Amino acid sequence: MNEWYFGLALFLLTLPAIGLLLGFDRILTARLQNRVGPPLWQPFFDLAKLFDKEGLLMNKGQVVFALMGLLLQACAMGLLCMGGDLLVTFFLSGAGSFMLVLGAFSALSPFSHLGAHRELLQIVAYEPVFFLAIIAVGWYEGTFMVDSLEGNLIGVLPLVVLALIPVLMIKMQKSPLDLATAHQELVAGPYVEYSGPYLGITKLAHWFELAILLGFISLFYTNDDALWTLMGRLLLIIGLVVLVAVIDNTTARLTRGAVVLTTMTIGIALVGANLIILALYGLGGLA
Amino acid sequence: MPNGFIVPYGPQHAAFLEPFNLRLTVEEEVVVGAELNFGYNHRGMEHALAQDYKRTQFLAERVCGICSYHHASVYCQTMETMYGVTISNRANLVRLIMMECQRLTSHLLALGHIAETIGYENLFMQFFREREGVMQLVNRISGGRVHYSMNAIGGLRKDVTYEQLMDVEATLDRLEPKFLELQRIVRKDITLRRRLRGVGLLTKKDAVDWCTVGPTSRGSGLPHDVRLTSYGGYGLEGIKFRPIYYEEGDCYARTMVRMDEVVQAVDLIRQALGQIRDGPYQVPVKGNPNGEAYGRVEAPRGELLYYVRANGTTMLDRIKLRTPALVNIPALTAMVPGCRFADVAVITVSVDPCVCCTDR
Amino acid sequence: MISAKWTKRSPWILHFDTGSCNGCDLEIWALLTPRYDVERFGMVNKANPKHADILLITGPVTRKAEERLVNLYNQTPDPKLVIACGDCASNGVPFFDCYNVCGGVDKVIPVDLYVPGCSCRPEAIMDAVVQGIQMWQEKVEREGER
Repeated sequence: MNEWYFGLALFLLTLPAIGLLLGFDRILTARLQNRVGPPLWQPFFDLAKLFDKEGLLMNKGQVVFALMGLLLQACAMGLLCMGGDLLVTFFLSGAGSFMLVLGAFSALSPFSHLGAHRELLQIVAYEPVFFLAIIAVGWYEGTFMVDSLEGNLIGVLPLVVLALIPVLMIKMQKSPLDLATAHQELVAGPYVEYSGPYLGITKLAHWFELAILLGFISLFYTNDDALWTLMGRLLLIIGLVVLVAVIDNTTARLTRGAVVLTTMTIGIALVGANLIILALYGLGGLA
Repeated sequence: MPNGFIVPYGPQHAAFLEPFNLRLTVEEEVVVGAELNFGYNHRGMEHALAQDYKRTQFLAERVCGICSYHHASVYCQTMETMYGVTISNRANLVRLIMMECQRLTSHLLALGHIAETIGYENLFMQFFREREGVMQLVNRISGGRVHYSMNAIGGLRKDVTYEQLMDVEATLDRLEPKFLELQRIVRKDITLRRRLRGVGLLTKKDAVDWCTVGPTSRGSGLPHDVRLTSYGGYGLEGIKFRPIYYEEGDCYARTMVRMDEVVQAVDLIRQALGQIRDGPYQVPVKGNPNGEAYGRVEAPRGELLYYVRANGTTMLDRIKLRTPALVNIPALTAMVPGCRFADVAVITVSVDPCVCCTDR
Repeated sequence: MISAKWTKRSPWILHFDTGSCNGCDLEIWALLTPRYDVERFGMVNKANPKHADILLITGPVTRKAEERLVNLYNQTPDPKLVIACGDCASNGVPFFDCYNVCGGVDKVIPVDLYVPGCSCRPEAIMDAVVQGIQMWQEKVEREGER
């Protein structure tokens, strides 16, 4: 399991897998809305088109921030695939999300600024929950190294998975929690001033960002049999994506105060409750 | 964010179908000032409408695509007042049916638009799905999805057949359960109420001061409806209705007024279908128009008034339109300041701005 | 660079009303909804010129909207396609000779496709878009050669 080429293969598979997942999500959303929906490969078509278009820029800084964002996210994903430290992954990915905000702030557009501001709020809302979830895993396992995690975490930390659902919804830009990319309010939020290949780069960074969260969630299921582990993890991810799509289609968007409040309070409360239960039973403990 | 951040909302914006510009002064996502900017849609309609009186009604439909039939009907109504003719009951009832059908399409559009602006995309799709059923119904009856061109001065251009009237009834029977279900969803949905309740408050006093009409004023507790003046088919025996109004004056009240009026429109069409009898569909009018007259109807957005002056030739002297959106949109300056930035779109859409009516 | 077969599958649209009566705008919105559902062809309403590939313009261009239309056109990155939806966008006809109207989108920006009808039916717009995708592919290939 711990061979380096296995990690590399996993890393190379990330983007196609996330693209397919997003395509599946778009079809599912369309079907929930009584529509047929795009082909499964649609996210790849979009990406291909974006890289083929002319890029218009407000300033050179945008490119730097977009590329830095992609680099940081790819680094973080690589680390996760190679079985590295969860904390380092988390902070690298967080820095990558921050690059998007900086890129949006660097352009002189009110929509871009408002979008960046909301993106920051979202980061404030979900990072603590994500961070606490990682702490909970580390606390139970006694280590933050991905390749030395063992045991079926979903059995002992089920509330942590629940707490991660709002985080997933924010990262997948789904209502009720899609503040920054609220189409009808801010058009495309932080992405507004990117076009063509630069938009493609930010999209890729977003795919990696999503992959890190889904990859982390998938760690919660392990089985002795490698095949069963794979199947279970895939099922877990697809189940969560379906759940997020259904919630997206039955709710309106919340306002920013409500988003921060619900994500943080529910998330922190769930993770905290789970840790208290574990402590009561005397399980786990970071050495 | 610096204080007094200016956000240009429109003329091209995701939430708006039409070009108009709101210059918002935003402080920490709270809107402190709003300035309306019109005229992107001004084509000079009043000038163009003063032409051959027989052709005017077809251009009058092109003032606005959402309430096109109301424009044509009110023009014909005005001209009939000028000629002093009374049109047959059959023509009046067919006009009523088509006007209510248009109200259905318009309100379903407005409701879907509200759902879209608060990020409830699924509800938007459901509203538009039902709207498509009505659009196809009017297409089967009039031959057009948007512009019906069914009227003539003195009645209708062409009679409707018995099969077409049966078709209306059958389609409504099919659609009504879905409307009722949508009404239930709009009433009950938690996130929707959370986004609409208490947002964009327009008090009764403000509603009077800003001269608002239609669902915007009825959402603020004013039971003001031009249909109560019994013009056209609304005054006939057997057509009964009561204006729907809510007291709250927020976006939710305006949404509910429209939602209830959808159900009411179905009811009115049913009543009209029950009253309709065979008979002449046109009363001949003779000579060129002379004198002046005005007419008004309750368009989906409120009172629509036409004033026509003729001078005895085929060319009309002057036409003046007073469209409902023209008075409803300025009321936004009373609702928007102080609201959250996120609510600007939904408040704007909740008065159902029809910029092509406003700018003409 | 990248095969046009792939890129043509993802046309993102921008809709701008330059003074139409709303009829064609409604039909464009109807395109996005269950009955017509243009997302089958990968079309998404982006409402942002910097992300758009196909501009759907409705209405005769009024004097005030003219400048905005040119701005939107310039902000859209190449290769792009302009579709004039409806009679008035094609040649300004119901509003011909009105004092505030330029008369047709092609008086202001180059137009690739014209959709007839007042208001144009959703099927016609869909047909135009599908034809437009073909034209767009040719444009992409030409861009690639340059």
